[in-house]
Amino acid sequence: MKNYIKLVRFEVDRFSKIYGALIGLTILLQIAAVVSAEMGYMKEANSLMLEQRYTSVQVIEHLGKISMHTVSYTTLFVFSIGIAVVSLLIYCLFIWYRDWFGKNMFIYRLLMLPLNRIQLFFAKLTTILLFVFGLVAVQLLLFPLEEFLLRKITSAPYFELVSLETLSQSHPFLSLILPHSFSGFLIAYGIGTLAVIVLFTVILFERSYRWKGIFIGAAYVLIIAAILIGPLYAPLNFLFYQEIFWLYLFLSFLIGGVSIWLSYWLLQHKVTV
Amino acid sequence: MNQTFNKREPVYVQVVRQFKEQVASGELLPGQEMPSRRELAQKLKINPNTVQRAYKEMEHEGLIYTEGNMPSKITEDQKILIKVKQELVTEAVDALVKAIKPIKVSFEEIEPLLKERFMSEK
Amino acid sequence: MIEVKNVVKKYGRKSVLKDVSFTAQKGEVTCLIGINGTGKTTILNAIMNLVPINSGEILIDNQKLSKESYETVAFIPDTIITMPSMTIGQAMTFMRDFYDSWNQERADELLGFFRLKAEDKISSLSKGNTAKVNILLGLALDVDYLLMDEPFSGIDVFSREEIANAFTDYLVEDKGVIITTHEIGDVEHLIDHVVLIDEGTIVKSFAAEEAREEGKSIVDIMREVLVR
Repeated sequence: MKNYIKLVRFEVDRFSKIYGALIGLTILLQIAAVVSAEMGYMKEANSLMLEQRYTSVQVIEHLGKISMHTVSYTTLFVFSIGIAVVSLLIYCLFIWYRDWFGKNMFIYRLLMLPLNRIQLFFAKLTTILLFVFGLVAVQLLLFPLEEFLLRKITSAPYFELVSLETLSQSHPFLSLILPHSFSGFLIAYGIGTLAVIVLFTVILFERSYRWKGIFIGAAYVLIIAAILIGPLYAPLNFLFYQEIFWLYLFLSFLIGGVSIWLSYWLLQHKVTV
Repeated sequence: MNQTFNKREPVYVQVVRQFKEQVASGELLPGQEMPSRRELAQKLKINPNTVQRAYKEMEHEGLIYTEGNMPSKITEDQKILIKVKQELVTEAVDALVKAIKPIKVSFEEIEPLLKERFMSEK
Repeated sequence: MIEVKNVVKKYGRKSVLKDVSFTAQKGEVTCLIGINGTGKTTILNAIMNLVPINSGEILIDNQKLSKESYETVAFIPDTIITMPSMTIGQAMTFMRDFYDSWNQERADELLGFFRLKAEDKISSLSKGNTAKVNILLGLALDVDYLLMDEPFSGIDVFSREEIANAFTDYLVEDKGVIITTHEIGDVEHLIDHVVLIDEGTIVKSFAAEEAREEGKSIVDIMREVLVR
C-alpha cells in the first residue's frame, strides 16, 4: 500500500508540469469562449437594432438571452474540452510508452522495484483517474466563475442565469462529463475506467509480444465488444430493465477482472524491457 | 607498489613475489603488520579472493603469521627471511644466466659489465 | 549462488540463447565474455526477469526470482535507467523511497568519489557522468549479488578508471558479481571465473587463475576457443 501511494505520487509528479499547462490552457480557452460568445451576441444584437430597428425586447425574442448555454456551444469551449479529453487519452498510451522509449529506459528501474508489478498498473490507472477527476473539478469550479464573468460583461437585460445542472442535463458532452445523477456518474466513469483498464491490457500485450501483441490486443478488444454487444441481440425481452443493468454490471466486473488478471500475468511473466 | 601484473602468470603468485621483494629489500620489516586483505585488494585493484590466496600461500611458506584476530605480521624467523632473499637472488640470477646463455659469452666477458651496472644502479 | 540452467531464449525463430547453463558463486566475480551480439545482455535481463525465457530455469540461492529478490540482486544495465528530468539527488531519493537495501552513506560516498553534484539534472550530464549515476544507483544498494552489463563501454578512459576503482572497493564486501564485457582489459585481474559465450552457447567456463597457472592469459584462451 505504501509503495502504491509512492508510485502514484511519482506518476502524478512526472506529468504535473504538462498537466498544469493543460489546466491553464483550459482556463484561458474557456475565458476566451465567454468573451467571444458575449462579443458575438452583442455584435448580432447591435446589427439587429441598427439595421432592423429592433428594440432590446425584440432582440431577446429573436436571439434569446445569452447564457452559459450559449458559451458552451462555442468552438473555443468545445475545443477546450476536446483538447483536455484528447490529451488524457494520449497520456493513457504515453504513461506506459514513455518508460520504454528514448535514451533513458526507466522501465528497467520500474520493473526492478521490490514490489508486485501489478502495482505499477494500478498506480498508472489511478494517476489517469486523478487527472480526469482533477479536470472535472476544475470545470466545476470554473463554471460559476465563467458565469460571473459573463454576467459582468453582458448588459443586464440580455443575461440569463443557467445552472450547471440544467445545462448538463441536455448537453451532448457535458452530460457525459458531469452526469446529473449519481448512478449516471457511476456508469459514465465506470465505463471510462473499464475502457482504460482494457487499453492498458492491450498496451501490455503489445509490450510483451510486440507486433504479435497488437493483433492479440485487437482480438481481445473484439471479444470484449462481442460480449458487450451480444446481449443486445439476444432475446432478452424476458429481462426487466433492472436485470439488464445487473447483467451489464456483472459483465463489466468480469471484463475488468479478467483484464487485470491478464495484466498481472503479462507484467509478471511476459513483459520485455 | 607495482600495479601492473603479468597476464600470463597467476596474480596471487605475483603478489607473493612482490611481498618477498619488499621483505628482502627491507621495505617491510620483520614483525611489521600486513595490510588487511580488503585494503590490499583495493590498493592493487585486484580481486579480494586473489589476495586471500596470496596470504594463504605466504602463510603456508611461513613468510607471514596470524595470531587470533590480529592482523597478519611478517615473520621474525631469520631462517625464513634469509631463505626468501636467497630464493629471490637465485631466481634472478637464473633468469640472467638463462637470458645470456644463448649469446654464448664467457663469464669473464660479462663480469666487468655486471659489476659496472650493479654499482651504477645504486 | 546464481544458477542458470538450460536457458533457451528465442526472438521469433532466432535463438539468442541455446541451452545456456552456468553458476555464479557468492564472493566471486564471474565474467561473461563474448563478442558483441552473443546473448550476454539477454542472460542478465533473464536473470532479473526483464525478458521472458522460453525454457530453462534460473535460481538465486535456490529460489526463483521474486519481488524480494530485487533487494538482494542489483542490476546495472548498459542503458541509462534514470529519469532525465530528475536531479541526481532526486534519483537517489527515489531509490531510498523504494529499496530497504539502499545505503545512503555509500551513495553519498560514491557521489563524492565520482565528483558528481546532487543538484545536477540528469539530462544535463555528459555521457560518462550519466553512466556513473547509473552505476552509483546500483552500487549503493546493499545486495548479495551485483550484475553489471558492459560497465566500461563507450566511456572515456578516466571515467573508466574511476568506475573500475569504485567497483573494486565494492567487491571487497564479499558480493557475488556477474559482469559482462567484450573488452577484458579493464577487469582482467578482478575476475575469478570466466564464462565464454559465442552465438548463444557457452563454449568454455574456467577459473582465471587456473588458466594463468598454465601460463595462459584469458585472451589466449579466448583465441584458442573462439578463433577457429
